[in-house]
Amino acid sequence: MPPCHDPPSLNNQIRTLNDNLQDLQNRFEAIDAAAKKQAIENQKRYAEDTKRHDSLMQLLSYIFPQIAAPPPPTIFPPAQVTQKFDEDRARFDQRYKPLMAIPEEFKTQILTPSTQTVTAVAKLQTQNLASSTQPPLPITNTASLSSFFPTEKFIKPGQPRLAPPANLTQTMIPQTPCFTLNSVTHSINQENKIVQQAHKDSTVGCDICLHNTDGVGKCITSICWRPDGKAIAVGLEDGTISLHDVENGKLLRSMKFHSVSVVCLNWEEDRKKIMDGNHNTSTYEDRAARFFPPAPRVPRVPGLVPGDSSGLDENDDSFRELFDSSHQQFNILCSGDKAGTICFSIFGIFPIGRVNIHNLVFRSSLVGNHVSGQLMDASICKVALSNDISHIIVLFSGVLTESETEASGNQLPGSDLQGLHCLVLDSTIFSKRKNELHQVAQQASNVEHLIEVIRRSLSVMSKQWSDAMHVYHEKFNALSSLIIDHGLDSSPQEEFLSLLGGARTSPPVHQFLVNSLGEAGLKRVAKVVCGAGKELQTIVLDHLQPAAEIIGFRLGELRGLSKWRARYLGVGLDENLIDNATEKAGMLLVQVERFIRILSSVVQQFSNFFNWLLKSVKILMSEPSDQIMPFSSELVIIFLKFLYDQDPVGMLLQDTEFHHSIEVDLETKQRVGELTHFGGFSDTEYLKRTLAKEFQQLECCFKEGLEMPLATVSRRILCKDILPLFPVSSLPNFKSSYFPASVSYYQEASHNGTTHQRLTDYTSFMVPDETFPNITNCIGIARGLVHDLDNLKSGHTSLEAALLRVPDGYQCVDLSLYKEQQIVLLLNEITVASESSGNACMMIVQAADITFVPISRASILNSWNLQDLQDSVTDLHLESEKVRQISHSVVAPLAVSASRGVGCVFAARKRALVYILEEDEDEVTDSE
Amino acid sequence: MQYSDDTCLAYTLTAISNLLSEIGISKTSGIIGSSYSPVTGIGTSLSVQQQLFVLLRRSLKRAESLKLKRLVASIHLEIAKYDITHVQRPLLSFGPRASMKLRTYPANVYKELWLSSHLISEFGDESSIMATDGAFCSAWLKSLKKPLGSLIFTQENETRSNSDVFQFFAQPNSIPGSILQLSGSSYLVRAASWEMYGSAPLARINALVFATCFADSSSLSDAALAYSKLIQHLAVYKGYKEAFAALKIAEEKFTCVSKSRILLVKLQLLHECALHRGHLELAQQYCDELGVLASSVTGVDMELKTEASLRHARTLLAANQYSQAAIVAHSLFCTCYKFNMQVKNATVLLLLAEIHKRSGNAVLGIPYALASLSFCQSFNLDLLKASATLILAELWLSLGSNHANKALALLHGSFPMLLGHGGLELRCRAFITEAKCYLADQSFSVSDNPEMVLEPLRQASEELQLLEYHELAAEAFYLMAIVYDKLGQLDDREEAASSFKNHITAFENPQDDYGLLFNML
Repeated sequence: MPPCHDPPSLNNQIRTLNDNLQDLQNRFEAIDAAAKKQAIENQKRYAEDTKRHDSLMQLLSYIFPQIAAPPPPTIFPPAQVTQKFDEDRARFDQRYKPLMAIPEEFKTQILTPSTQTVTAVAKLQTQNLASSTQPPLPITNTASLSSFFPTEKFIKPGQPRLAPPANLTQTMIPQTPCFTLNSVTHSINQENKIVQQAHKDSTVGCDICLHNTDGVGKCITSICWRPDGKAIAVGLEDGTISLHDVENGKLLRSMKFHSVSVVCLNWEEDRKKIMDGNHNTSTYEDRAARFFPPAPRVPRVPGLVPGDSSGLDENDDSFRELFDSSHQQFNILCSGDKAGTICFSIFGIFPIGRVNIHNLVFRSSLVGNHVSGQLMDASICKVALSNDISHIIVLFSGVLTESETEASGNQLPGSDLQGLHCLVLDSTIFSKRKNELHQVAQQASNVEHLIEVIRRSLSVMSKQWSDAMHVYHEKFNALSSLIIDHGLDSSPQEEFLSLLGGARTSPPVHQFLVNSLGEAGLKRVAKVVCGAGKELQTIVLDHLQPAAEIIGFRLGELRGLSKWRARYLGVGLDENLIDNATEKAGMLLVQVERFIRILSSVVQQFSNFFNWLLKSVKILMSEPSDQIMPFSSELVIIFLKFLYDQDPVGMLLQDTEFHHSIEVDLETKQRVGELTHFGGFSDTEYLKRTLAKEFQQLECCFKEGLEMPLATVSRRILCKDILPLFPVSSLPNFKSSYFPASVSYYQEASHNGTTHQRLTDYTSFMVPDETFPNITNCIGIARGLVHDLDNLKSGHTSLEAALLRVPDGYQCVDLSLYKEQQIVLLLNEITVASESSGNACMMIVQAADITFVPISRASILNSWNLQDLQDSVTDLHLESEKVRQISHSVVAPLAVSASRGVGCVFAARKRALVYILEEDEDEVTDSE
Repeated sequence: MQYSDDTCLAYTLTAISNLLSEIGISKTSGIIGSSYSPVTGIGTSLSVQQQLFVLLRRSLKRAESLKLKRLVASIHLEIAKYDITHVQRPLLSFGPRASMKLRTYPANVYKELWLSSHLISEFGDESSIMATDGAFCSAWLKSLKKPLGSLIFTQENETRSNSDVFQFFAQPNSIPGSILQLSGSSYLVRAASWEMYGSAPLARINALVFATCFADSSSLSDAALAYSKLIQHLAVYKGYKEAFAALKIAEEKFTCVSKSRILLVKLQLLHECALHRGHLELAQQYCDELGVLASSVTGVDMELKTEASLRHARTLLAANQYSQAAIVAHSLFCTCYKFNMQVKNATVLLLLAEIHKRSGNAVLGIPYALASLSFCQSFNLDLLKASATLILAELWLSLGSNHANKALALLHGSFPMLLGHGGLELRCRAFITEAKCYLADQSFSVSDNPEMVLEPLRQASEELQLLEYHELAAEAFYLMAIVYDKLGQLDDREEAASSFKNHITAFENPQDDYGLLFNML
């Protein structure tokens, strides 16, 4: 705008400006007003909304009073549930209790309407299955196959109609250790697979495909859950224990601790820590997680379709995940086999104890009376580790012979007791040395996993490389035969050298290159060999080397632990042995480095050689050869001299059947020798070994190092007490007969009046009718076996027992201990007519109501104590106890869940019924 | 043309970062030239190292896109080196919501090293390497001429079928030297990182791998570094005798070139040894010699300078000149802070705690120990953390016997680290402190379980004799004699007492064993 204005136009401008301003102001005001109006309206609407919402809520709470005020979570006895359990339970209750308040007709749930399934069982019950009137599944070899029930606490109460959708169930799984699995079933399908089907609920199911081995399917003989419910341990006929992921049924780990069939499994978590509160300051951190990325996996097997190999990969992944989560809490898996061996393994993986009850030195609990006995022909029925992992109760059948009695009193020579006995093992080493064992197990089981990774890597590499070499030799052997055909007296190397030198192209080489190999063939060989080389390099760099390094680290940690002699010598961690293993791990790292170098140099030379050959072929066929990669003729010479007919890579991968030592050049030899003065490896010959051999030695040393803890701990698992329960006549199927029995530990306040709580063990068992003349149709309960010794010292009541007589007209089928010192009996009504399926019932007996009789232990080891009780049998009456009627006859396996308050039994037509035991009302439930 | 410029730039960046890892840069940007202004210095800008790290990341990207394999590998290596000692700060962090988890991530270091080690499988693709035709000729010819082992023995002992055939293994590698050098130095970085993180076996093994596989193909300074690491390891874990023997061999081996590295180790060893034997003048002399080795330029050789002054402080402490030691340590702390040497800071703080402990001011020492502990935690210096815990336990114990339980719990918490990965001195101190804790505990009765006290003392005294640490050995024997006296085992008591006397006289009159020390020089 020019600087000079005439006044009127300026005035005009000012006026218009003013107008504009005014206009703007007006507009602003309008906007302001609108905004205010809007705000008021909003407020009104909001108030309306709130009102509507409130009324809705009122309505809702009127309709569903549960939602507004969820019922307080039921408190469970601390002995049965961990803190976490309680939390989860509470959470569960909040979410599902409203849903569970359902009409009575839905209270019974029909679980598995599948034709091929049988409900899972925790107990061996071959005969019952075979002899039951309604065989629950069409199994081909029923005699050897047994079925199982999940152990308590994992059964989820019925939630039939109002059950949340499947995805809701799924999302709940990680939160609650109480499993949503209702049943675990297995059957044999056509391919001779044992398929174990775990049904999450009646709709969702997943299969655990166990075995598909060469025609001989192994039978499952026992099963149990990991305490956190994320994995399942399965004992097999051949003594193998395999761990499976519950989510997808994948095999995580398979171990062979036993040589005969694994009869019972018991996986117990240490709950002492939670109960005691955390006064333990020496928390130990697994440093590997901080210093290393996740451990390498087992390499993929080449040549498999991705679909096939993915299973392998995921397997490994889930292993790691489950393994890590397993590290949170110290747990021990006990397994007992038919031959009387009991094994203990931390996390179900790391073997820490092995005891054969035949070799135990028996001591009676009687003060001043040292009796030692011998056990013959024992077969374990049940193993139960107490919650504080310091005692084990073992029920076994066998012949007990008293060999010598120091206090000569009532010694009856040849008083063999054949029957069911109860044994108490003292495993206080587990609880005393818990931290140490935990740490050792944590490191060692990881090392084991990594060793497996290396082993598999080596085998994959070896396979791949030998395949590639096979292709290479197959192609190039043609040349030497061609040379012979042409009557030349030379080697392929010489012919190639002369080709390289440009002197001449001999006819065999020409024929070989142009005709028999050709450009395409050469390219194919090059691709195979170089591809294999690259693959090998990847495996070494991604799997082998990291695994070796982490092994080194973890062994270093173990070595560090072993140096704390005061603590770790007690669990048998030997400093020198672990030191050896650490040295081997170091040597392995050097070997791996050497292997990498040789491998890459070989790969380089192969590709160089093939490049040269390709160029030669092009020249021979007088084609343009510009596109070919350059080559180094020097390397070709070296290749022809050292690599053409040698295979250094394959040699390093060989685990030496024949002593093929690797040549080491003088300089390196001297250097290695010199390094011993610098704290190098004292074994200077290690470079002469192959990589595979070195790995074997590492594995061997590691194994040796861990033998010690196993032996040391096993020695310290002692027999504390033994109690003969009842005789069993020597029937032919004596060893395989099924004894309904149940062992449980309840926490109860001590009688001293202090706040100290202690665990009392309850052993309940069914007394077979034929054993004692006066005791028929009875069950026996013994309690306080574990604390017998302490009680004797402190003058408290010792072992007590009681006999209960089942009401007339009923027959006990199975029994199980339930929470709060209750016993659930599964009774069958005795019917005359065989074809009609009679009624049955579940009876809940309060142990507190029963009068227990102290058992005098004077006549220990040579008589049956129960005989003394025949006068004090308590009769049970249907009217006086809580009874739940079942409108059909039942077969043996009964499973109860203390945390869920349910019991599960077989029903007709291959179904299992879940009964809620909590409720007081006892109306007859409809099975269909 | 642009490409080659980029390549050039990338290489320059790596060179700069390489320089930077050796030359300290002061935090207050004094080097860049601006004047010292505390207000702008705080929190406003990234440290120079941080900026350089960003540049490094960028050059990594560039190098990756240009497929410069060796450059990529070496940048990964540099990043790993940086990651070991530097906390990754988020570049943009505003407000209270920004998470300030100041920690180093060792797993990242591992990943970087792992990435750089992939070079060995990829170098074949880089065509430029293949062009050096004829370079190996001389090496191969030389090796072919070389006798394989002694020929006489070969015929007698090794009757192998292929003894006349040259095996591929014994031949020099066709892998280019630059590649080997890179992958070799990754082992050195590993060894250094494990020294810091505290895994004694891995630190040694990695140094050994380097010395076995790469000693001939790497630079002499790298090789000397590996050997000096091994010697230091020997000194710390096996005692001085073996270390000095190894040092002699190393001196012959590396006469010509890298005198400084070996000399450094030698001076370090001599200083430690003199300190342990109680000859403080000699120790001070070595310490001064160490300081002279460093360049006089500010910001150069910071590692060496801080070490010299740390050793100076320790010598003063050993001479019971607490206030002077504290002054030196304080100024050292300031230097470390200025040059952003956080890892060193942890050590200095620990020294300060030690000074206060020795001067009898346990209460003043505790905050230093705790500060050191938290430094160690954020830098994952596990071994140093364990020794900080040890000092903390000692401090608690010196506060009175009613803290003995607490001290013992602290001690046992870090026992796997201390005993497993600590050197002789650390182990012995841990053992002695454990015994002291038991003895101070009122509920503990020596006569009930004497082994709980005697066993650690015995172990400590055994190891201290290896180390020739007279002062501490005297203490161990003193405690032992007291325990034996309580138990009424008079013969054992006399034995322990005479050992105590031997050590204490050796400590007070260090002239006796001058011989060995002087021979070394």
